[in-house]
Amino acid sequence: MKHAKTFLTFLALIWLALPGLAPAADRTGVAADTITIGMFGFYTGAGSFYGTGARDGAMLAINEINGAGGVHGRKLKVIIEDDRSTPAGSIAAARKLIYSDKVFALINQGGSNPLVATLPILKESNVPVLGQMPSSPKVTRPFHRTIFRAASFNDQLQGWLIADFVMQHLKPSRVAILAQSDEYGKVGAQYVIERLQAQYKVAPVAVVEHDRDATDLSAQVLKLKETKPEVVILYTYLRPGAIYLRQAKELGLGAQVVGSVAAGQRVTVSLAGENAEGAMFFTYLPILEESDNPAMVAFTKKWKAAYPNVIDPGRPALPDILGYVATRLFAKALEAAGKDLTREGFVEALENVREFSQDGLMMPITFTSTNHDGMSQATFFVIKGQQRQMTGVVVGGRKLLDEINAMKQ
Amino acid sequence: MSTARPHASAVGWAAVLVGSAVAAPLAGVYPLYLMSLAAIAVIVSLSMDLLMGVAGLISLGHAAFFGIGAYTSTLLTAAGAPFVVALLGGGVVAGLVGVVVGVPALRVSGHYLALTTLAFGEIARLVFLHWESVTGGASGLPVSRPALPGWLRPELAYFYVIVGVAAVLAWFMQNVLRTRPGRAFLALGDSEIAVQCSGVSVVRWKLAAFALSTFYAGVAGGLFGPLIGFIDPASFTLMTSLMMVMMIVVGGRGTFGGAILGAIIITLLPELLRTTKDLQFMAFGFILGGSVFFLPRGLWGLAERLIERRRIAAAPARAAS
Amino acid sequence: MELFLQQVVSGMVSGSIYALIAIGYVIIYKATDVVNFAQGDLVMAGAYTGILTYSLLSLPFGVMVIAVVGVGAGLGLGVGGMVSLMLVRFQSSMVNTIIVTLAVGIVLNSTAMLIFGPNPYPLPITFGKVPISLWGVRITPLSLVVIGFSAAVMVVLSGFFRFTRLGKAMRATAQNRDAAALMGISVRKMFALSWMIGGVLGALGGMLLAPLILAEPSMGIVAVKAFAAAIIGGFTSLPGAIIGGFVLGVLENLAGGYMSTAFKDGIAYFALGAILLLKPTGFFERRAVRRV
Repeated sequence: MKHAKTFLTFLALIWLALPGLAPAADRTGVAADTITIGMFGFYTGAGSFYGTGARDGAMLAINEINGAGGVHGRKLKVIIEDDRSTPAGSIAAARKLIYSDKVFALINQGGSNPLVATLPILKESNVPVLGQMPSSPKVTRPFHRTIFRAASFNDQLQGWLIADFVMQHLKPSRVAILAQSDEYGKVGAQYVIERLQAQYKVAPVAVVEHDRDATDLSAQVLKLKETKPEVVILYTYLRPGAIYLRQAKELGLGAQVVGSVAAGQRVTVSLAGENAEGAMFFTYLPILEESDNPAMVAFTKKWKAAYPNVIDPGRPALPDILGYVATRLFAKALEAAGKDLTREGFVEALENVREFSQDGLMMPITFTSTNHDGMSQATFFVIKGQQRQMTGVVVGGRKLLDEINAMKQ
Repeated sequence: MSTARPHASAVGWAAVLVGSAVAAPLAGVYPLYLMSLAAIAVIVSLSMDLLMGVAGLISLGHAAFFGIGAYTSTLLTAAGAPFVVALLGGGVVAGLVGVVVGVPALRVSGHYLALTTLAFGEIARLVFLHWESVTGGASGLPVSRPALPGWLRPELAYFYVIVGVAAVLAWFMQNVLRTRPGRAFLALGDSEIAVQCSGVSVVRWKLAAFALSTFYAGVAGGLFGPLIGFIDPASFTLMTSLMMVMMIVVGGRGTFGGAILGAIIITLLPELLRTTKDLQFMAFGFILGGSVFFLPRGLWGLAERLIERRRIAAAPARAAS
Repeated sequence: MELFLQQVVSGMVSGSIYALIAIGYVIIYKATDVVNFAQGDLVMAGAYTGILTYSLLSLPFGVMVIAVVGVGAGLGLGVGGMVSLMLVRFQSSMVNTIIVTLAVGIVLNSTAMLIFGPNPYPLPITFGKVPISLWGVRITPLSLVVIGFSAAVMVVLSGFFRFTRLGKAMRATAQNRDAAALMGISVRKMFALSWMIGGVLGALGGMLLAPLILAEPSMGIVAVKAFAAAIIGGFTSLPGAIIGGFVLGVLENLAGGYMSTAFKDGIAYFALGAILLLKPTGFFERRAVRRV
């Protein structure tokens, strides 16, 4: 009897531990004629403008590639999960894609906060991840072999470059900042301030915050107006940015606006109308979406053919382009990894990507074995006469990026 | 609106418990995650049932207490407290806040109570968002799991922990309802006026029910953090509170079976709705509205009615024979 | 001083919209004892109807207003009908009716999301671009129109309730349902009418709001603030709701200007919570909170 009990306990223990004993294959998700890819991002919730754009751009690329025969004869099968713009949603989506759907690699089109929260699982599972949206430096620092960021721009670098642009080209003596009171805005503003201090020994005359969902910024505008800034740096999302532009004009705050990439989208012009006159925004698109550059025109045509029912006049926009270009990069690396596709091979192929740009639609992306932050250069556009125009000023470079990645967190 | 059939509930409940315990080792990481979430939801739903099903109150802001429990236990763990202490701490703090909010809030009823709790829920979320030094603000806080025996897979081990806690809390609730305070809660649900007339302090018992309910929500929150590995204000919104209410509405008020059924359905609903993608939210609205409209006593109530009907149909036959 | 005045004036603009939506809540509640939790999404529906007619179909301003009124009335009637059905026929509890109105709101929200997408949409109505400057305070023609329009609606409503037979019948029903029925007033028709008016006010609020803040499926959240305004006014008094709306709008701006901008948006909830806890009947009480 005693022995039977021990034996049964032993069996039970083995039974409990069993599923955990199977080793992870690194050809997971690769079948004879398909490669299973997971795509997760903020398709609903606060970041949906960016997430859905990226997804649409990505699927455009996927369908193009599959239409041309796939990668080494394998079609790309994409499983899409929504992270609802929350960390918990992102973690759940990642868990499902990695453990239930057993994907080969992941594309992330979510916000910084959700992805950073998901990093532990991603790192533990060693699934290659190509980030196409999250901008927090924490994604690539500390460095992890399987995590890459093709886009968006590293926030710390963006903050530094905005500070550099303002101080070098506008040369104001009084600078103020309006930041969204969430992770995006607060942390972004921090980087601007740190660069202003370290490089130019300048402190902003005011740093004012607003709630991400705020619909009236008059209190903030009036507070800023009191400090008489020459330049106001906007680190905010699309809608609050547009509201600010209107209310600043209404309340007589004439400071030059320099905004982060999230606020300066194609649709900003129609959202803010004449109030956007003179405002400048950071962007990592070398060509504006509405320009008649042949590459952009061809892309727009393709996009409209794929999505004929979209009412929004502001599409395709930056997120679409970003999703498209970064996914083509993804596919290119898959191809370079060869017919015998393994996760290690794919990671190596990614690390060999140099100056990838897909017809010049985006600033060139480079990965190396020590740097997984794709973009290091950006430019600014200005809104004149309800049109966007490039300023032609290019900022940034690999050196600054390396400096940032070498910093302690 | 009483505890109907405790026996049927207890049997069904035990079956679910045993079934999940046996099936768990076979489940993969993701299904286990869902099951763990459902088990936590059961605790939440018990707390909501005490409030809505038993005491006849309503709260549209219970996510706040869930969150308070989550943040409190996370902070306690980070300060070095053992898991059980942190968990209880989360529940106790949530309960205390429940008392503080309840004292003025429970003086009003109906719509006013719904709105006060809604407002409190929003205020709590704003506090989570802006009190950065404590809650980490929008960035949230990472949460570590308690150290568990190494011979079980971590997901499995934690699942058993959650189920264990849920079992204890459910058993406690069953028994509380048999005691004097429990009967007072039940009486409140039936008729506040009658309670007043019998000389029993309505406010005192409402407060007790509310506090116990928030304690449960707080413990659930303390279990939630380590499951996800991360907490932030986005997990404790108005929508979260609404889903909690939905558990009782869809499952059925006033019965254990209903509470458990509702918890499981609401947890699995987003999974089932994944295929509808963009229509997910709309489907959610239809299900919510539909279940309230057509099944005011929830699915459990429907099941009870069907069983009752069969019993009545069988009765004349028995009488005749 | 100039700063203070500017804050106040800016606050009056948002305040007038809060007031409009708040009256909608109060009218429905006074007549039917139900809080319309779908009001926020009626606001959103009004905004998108405005965009559809004015921006996308390029119809004139007047047509837009009529369309918005129609949509508001129709949706108000729909929600009201469902709620009445539940309360009367199914004898549902209050909790269930609250949930149904919430569910309707969710469906409306997701419909807007499907049709228009989650991105912000402009409703570019302007009445001249140059801000007017009065005593050092700047205000745009659009803002003036918003305040004026709201005021006009309030005046019309007030006249309706005071001087028309229908309006008086509604007031009578709100005061004493049984007596009104005995006097030959169709209580059901009064219910329907109050839901319609409540819906129209919500939708008009959305139409006025969209040019100011850009429409988005989640814009209905503004209704919670309007709700706070209604509570400040006691929830059973129309003038109270109006005053509550303006007070809240101005208070928000002043708090944002002199305290912390981060808390500006929390003010409404604080006010809501504080008032519900301390003085649920608001400052303009007309009727007891509970009826036994």
